[in-house]
Amino acid sequence: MSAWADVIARRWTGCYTRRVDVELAARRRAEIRSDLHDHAAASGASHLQQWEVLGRVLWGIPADLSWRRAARVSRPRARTTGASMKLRRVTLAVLVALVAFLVWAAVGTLYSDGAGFKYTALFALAVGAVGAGIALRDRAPGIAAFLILVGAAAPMAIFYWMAPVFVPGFLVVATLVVLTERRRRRANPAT
Amino acid sequence: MRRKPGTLLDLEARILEVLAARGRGELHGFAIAKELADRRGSRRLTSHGTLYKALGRLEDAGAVTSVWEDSAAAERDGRPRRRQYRITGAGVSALRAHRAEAAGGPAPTRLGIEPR
Repeated sequence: MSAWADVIARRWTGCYTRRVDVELAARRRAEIRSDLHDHAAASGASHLQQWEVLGRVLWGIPADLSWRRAARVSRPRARTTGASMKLRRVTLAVLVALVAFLVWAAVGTLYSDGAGFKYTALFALAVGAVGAGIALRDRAPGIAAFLILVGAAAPMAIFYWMAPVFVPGFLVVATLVVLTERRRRRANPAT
Repeated sequence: MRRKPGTLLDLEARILEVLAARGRGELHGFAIAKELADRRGSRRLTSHGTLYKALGRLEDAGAVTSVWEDSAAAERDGRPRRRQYRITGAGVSALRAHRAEAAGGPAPTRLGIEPR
């Protein structure tokens, strides 16, 4: 008989213990694994037993999420100091300048002849992407880097005739984003 | 719902009752859940999240301690290692205080359990 609920329990545990203190996460996963085994051994593996397991998983979700919240609060925040902090500040300054440029370009294309609303909309989306990337850079660094690169690529794609200006600009942003992410990972390998 | 600092939740008190009944003995998580259900006369076991969060809180407050069992024993039995829990002196005191409060008397001792 397939232990389908055990699989759900283990996957859910793996999910809510992600990006939590490594030791706490390992302990929680191991305890659940042991509990599942003992439950099956005590009740005998059966469909009813699996439904009981599923019930234990589902009813415990709020407590699991609360545990996760508390475990993440207790995790020491990655401190970037020295050269890494300077790099973060430089990157942030460049990204803020990029956002300012994109806003200016969005407004400019709205009122210029021949450009039309579609360019404004594209620039507005680029502003949103870069802004979201800046907001997410600590919580979801990978997604943030992707959004920033997409937003930074917008001027290159729209003003393709000005490639000599915007391609180097994009390369600067991309280099800074990649360097910042590498330094952050080195400083905090758990994430 | 925020609770008064130092008080035991109903589940925490029941867990301490189960462990206190073992004296110096230890119990693992599933065994605690089974015992809780048996005492209620119910088949329904405490959910994973609720049980292990409560055990964690009790441990943080010093009411219980826990250790991993010897790996060799688990390997011999062909099962994962169990985390074994035991009540501490502070846990016994907290349980006594909880019982006294439940009986309407003064609470002589409180645990340092803070609501999370």
